[in-house]
This record gives sequence, structure tokens and C-alpha cells, in this order.
Amino acid sequence: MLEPANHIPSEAFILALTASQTALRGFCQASLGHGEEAKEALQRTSIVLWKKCEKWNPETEFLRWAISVAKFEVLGVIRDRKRDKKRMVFASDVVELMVDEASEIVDVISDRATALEACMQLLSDRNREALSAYYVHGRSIQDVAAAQGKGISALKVMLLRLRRKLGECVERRLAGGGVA
Amino acid sequence: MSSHPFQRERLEELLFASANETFSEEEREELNAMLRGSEAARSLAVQFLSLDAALADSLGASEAASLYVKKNSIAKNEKSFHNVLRFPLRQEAWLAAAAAAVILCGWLGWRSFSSYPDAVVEAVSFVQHASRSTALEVGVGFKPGDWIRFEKGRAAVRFETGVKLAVEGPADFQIVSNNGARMTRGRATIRVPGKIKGFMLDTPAERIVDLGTSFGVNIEQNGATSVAVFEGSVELRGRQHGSGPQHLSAGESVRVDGNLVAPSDIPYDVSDYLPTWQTSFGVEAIEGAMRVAEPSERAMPGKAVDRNRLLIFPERESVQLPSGFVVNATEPGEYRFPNGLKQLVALQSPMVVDSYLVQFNPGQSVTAESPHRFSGTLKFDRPVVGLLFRALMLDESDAMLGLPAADFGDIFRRGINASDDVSLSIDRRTLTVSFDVINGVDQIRVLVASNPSAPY
Repeated sequence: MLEPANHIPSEAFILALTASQTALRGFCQASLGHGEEAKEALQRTSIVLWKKCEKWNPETEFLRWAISVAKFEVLGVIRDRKRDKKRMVFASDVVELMVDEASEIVDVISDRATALEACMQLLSDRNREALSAYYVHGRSIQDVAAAQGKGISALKVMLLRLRRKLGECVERRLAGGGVA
Repeated sequence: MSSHPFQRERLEELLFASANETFSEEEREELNAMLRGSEAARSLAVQFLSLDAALADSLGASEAASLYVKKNSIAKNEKSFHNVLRFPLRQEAWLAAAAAAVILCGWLGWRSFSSYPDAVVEAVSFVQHASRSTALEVGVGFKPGDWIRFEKGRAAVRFETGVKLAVEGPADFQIVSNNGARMTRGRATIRVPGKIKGFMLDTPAERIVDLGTSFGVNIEQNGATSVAVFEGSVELRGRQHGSGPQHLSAGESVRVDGNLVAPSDIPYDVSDYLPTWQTSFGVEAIEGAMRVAEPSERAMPGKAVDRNRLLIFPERESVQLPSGFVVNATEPGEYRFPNGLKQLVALQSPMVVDSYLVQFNPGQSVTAESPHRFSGTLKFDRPVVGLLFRALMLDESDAMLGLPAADFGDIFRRGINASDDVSLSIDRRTLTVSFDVINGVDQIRVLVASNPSAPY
């Protein structure tokens, strides 16, 4: 069982960990897909980072160090899942491929998140509600469809279309246009 | 690695569907085959999934930052107890509420948990039919000039400045500004946290000006007014009796029997104010052997002794915790020794919390003959988002979450042990604690979202 950290994290560490959360979450989810595994990997990563806080040199880049820890924890999660014979969204060999691919884009995840913030200003309240219910509160498609007064298929199409539009908006912004 | 052609739209459909419980084994195999076979597919999937994570982060953060409960059709469809209070608001009333100065953040019209819904309906019904009163709804805002009236129960109003006003009915009070109120009837606790000063409460006899404090006021039917200062100090400015401003400090109490009579000292007694004192901290109800620490005890958990009850110490409010802050539990459930109490969980997103220390301290060793198991249930008006069970975790968080200059005494066995149980209800509002205290002092720290509309 994990034990608490022996050192109180510095303010710089806490700020760096907070600033890296979106990138760490993105890395874990990109490596393991939707599902509990990504959450577990992120949690394990945060705890290990917290416990090892005194090993981080504030003069070095935090995210690189954090991602090296996250890779290890992602692989730890799939090792445990294989041992317990639990099904994951991605097969274990695919996870290893995805970890390599995700490592390539870690540096731009934060930029993408910033671009996304701007693109989300274009969402209507109703669309934001639907996305929030699905992505933040983890409600089922059926529940969100009922709350929005839509059929399940119609809601799926709507959410996927919103996702695509946001993705396109992010790409346009990253391409340098800055125009949503 | 070979790179097979793939359909972009189909890949996105499968990735989207993979978040659903209905994702089939056939779809899973199709998705995995696509990712194995194409580097381009993996690149697209990484972008898709990392954007999903950023989307969840961004939406979650914007909800947590919101101070007002917005109209939410999804939440409205839930049968949560707060929605028992809902009744139709005209559109213009809602728009006015959105710009309002304060938030009504809790109604406490019950005698016990089980009688809660009926009592609430009584309170709301009265207000609904009273003259010059606004429609009341948990989370709705008020604007200056709005009156709030009710006969039974308690209400808590949170001003934009952070001032908390908890009132017990029968009560009539009016929102005057974002830092002031008028009260003509009722018993209230007013708390002005942090560096805010200058909150003004007008009563028929006195204008009470906060100088950084918490205080109680009781206005009787005939206008007679009593004031007791719990922490800090206030200034009394007689409205008609002509005497100069009077400074009143913690532990002092006065009474004014009429508009033309100067205040006279009375014995300081907080007992009548304890229900609103409790409400002002968002503790909606308590059952069992448990109570909220009195004002004089609040900053001294190490010295507060009660052999018969668990004590709840409200600590710092509106503390910003970073994501990654580690606690022992964040989810509803039952926590018991050893596994349930030893786990560590990192917060997944930044949070603003109010902290509470729950303690049993009999002051001396409990003998085998004396009672040694104490249980209590407390219900908050906001969700519990974190729990700290272990001594080291408590020690490490004292500086951040304990009151400034809090006296934790020489308690050396903090946290809880093998015989203790803690459980958090599914809706995160109700915490049940059962401490077996044969061996010294038991303590846990409870973190509650500061924002009533926190996304839980």
C-alpha cells in the first residue's frame, strides 16, 4: 500500500503539477483510451509525482519528468489488467503503440488545450450542457438524450459533429490563423 | 509497422463509442485492428483522445469556477432534494436573479432528515404567498431590495463578498446591497470571513457595522434587539437613541429595548445562536453524538474536550487546492481499516474547498467501563470532495487547511484506526462517522466544495 510523501511539496512543484494536469490526462487517455484505466494511470502518476516531489529540480522541465513517470504507470496499469484478465478498450500491444505515439505530441497538448478554450466560446449553452453531461459528469448517451429531448442516434450524431467542429477549430488555430 | 488505409470517420465513431457501456466486443476488435494497422490511425486517435481529455478538463473547470447555479435542464430532471424547492420563475425574474448580489444557498426547515421535505414545503409555501417577497429557490440570486420572509426553519444567504448570513425563522430581512442587509425580525448569525470588513446590518434599533468578525443578532417581535459578538468586533451605531458609536468585542453582548434607549450590557450567552452558527458553516443537520464547536472552541481543537460527543471544527474557507493534491478518499463509500483508510488519491482538478476537522477528544484516557463508541451523521449543503484519515496527512495539511494560529494542542495520535468507520453517501452530502476511542483522540479532516454549485 502506498504511503504518504515524506516531504511537503513546494509551491513551485504544486504549480507545475497543476499546470501539467491537462497534458498528463491527455497522455494517459491517448495511451489507454476511454475508460477507468486512463483515470487509474493518471491517479497513480499524480501520487508517484507527489511522493517524489523532492526529486524534481525546479530548474528542469517538469512535464518531461512527469511524462516519464506517466509512461511507467500506464504500462503498470496494463500489466495489472493483464494479470487480472480484465478487458480494456485497447489491447495491451496497442497500448504500447499508443504510448509511443502519445509521447510524440505531449509538447503540443497544452497548446491544443489553449486553442480548445477559445473554440469552446463558440458553443451554445445547450451544446455545452450536452458535452458537459457526457464528458464531465459521465452520463450515459441515453440519459443525455432524454434530458435534451433527442433520440439516442440523433444525440450521438450531434455530439460527434460538435467534437469534429471543435477539432477542426483547434487545428485551424494551431495552423497559425487563430481564426475559429 | 505497416500502414493500412482506414476510414477517418469510422475511426472517430469507434473512438467516440468506446466511452460508452454499449461498446461491443466486435467494435473493440475493429478499433484495435485499425490502430495496429496504421500509424496515421494512431496519430489521429491520439489527437482525438487527448482533445477529449482537454474538453473534459475545460468543461469541468468552467463549471467549478461558476458562482451561480445556472438553469440546467439536465440537473432539473434529477429528483435531488434541492429540486423539491423549485417552483416556476418567470423569465424576467431569472434574469434579475442572474445579476443579483447574493445567493440563497440552503434551506433548513426540518426537524430531522426524515421530516425534511415536508418542512421545506411549509417554508417555501409561506414565502411564496407573502407580500413583497421574492420567489425562493436554492441557488437563486437576489438583488438589492428583495425581501426574504419565512415562519419556520433556517435559511443561509451568501453574499458576493463572502459574508454568510444564517437566519432562523420567523424572520423578515431585506438584501440592501452586496455588503449589507436589513432585518426586522428573527435570529441570525453573521460571519464576515477573511479580510472583508464593513458589512452593515440594519435593525430597528441599531446599525451594526462589522469590523472583521462573526456575531449574532436577535430581533424580537416588539423590536427589542440583542447582539452578541463571537469573534473580532463590531460597532453599534444607534439609529435614534442619540448615543455615540459603541465598540463591542468578542465575548460581549448587549440588548436594546427600544429605539430611544441606549444599549445595556447583558450576560454573553451563545446557546440561542448555535443553530444559526451551525447553518452559517453549511452544516444542514446533525444526528447522533455530534455537535459543531462553539465560537470559543473553534480555534482550539487541541483544548476542546467533550466526553460525550464528536466535535466538528469549521476551519479555513475557500482554500484553493491544486490538482494533484493528495487526500485519502474522494469518492462516496465506506472507509474502514486497513485498506479503506490507507489509500491515497490525488485530486483530478483544482478545487476550492472549506475544511472541517471532526474530532473526539475526551480529555483523558477512556476506561473500559466508560462509553467508547460515538457515532454521528452530519449533512452538508455542498458536496464533500475529499477526506483525510491519517495522522501524517492531517499533520501535513494543518498549515494549509487549519485556522491561522489554531491550537492543535499536544494530540499525538491523530487520524483514525482499526475500530473506526467513515462513510460518505452517494450524493456526497451526508457523512457518517463512528469512532471507537479507547486509544486517545480521533480526528479526520473533511473537505467540502466551497461553491454550492460544484459539479457533483
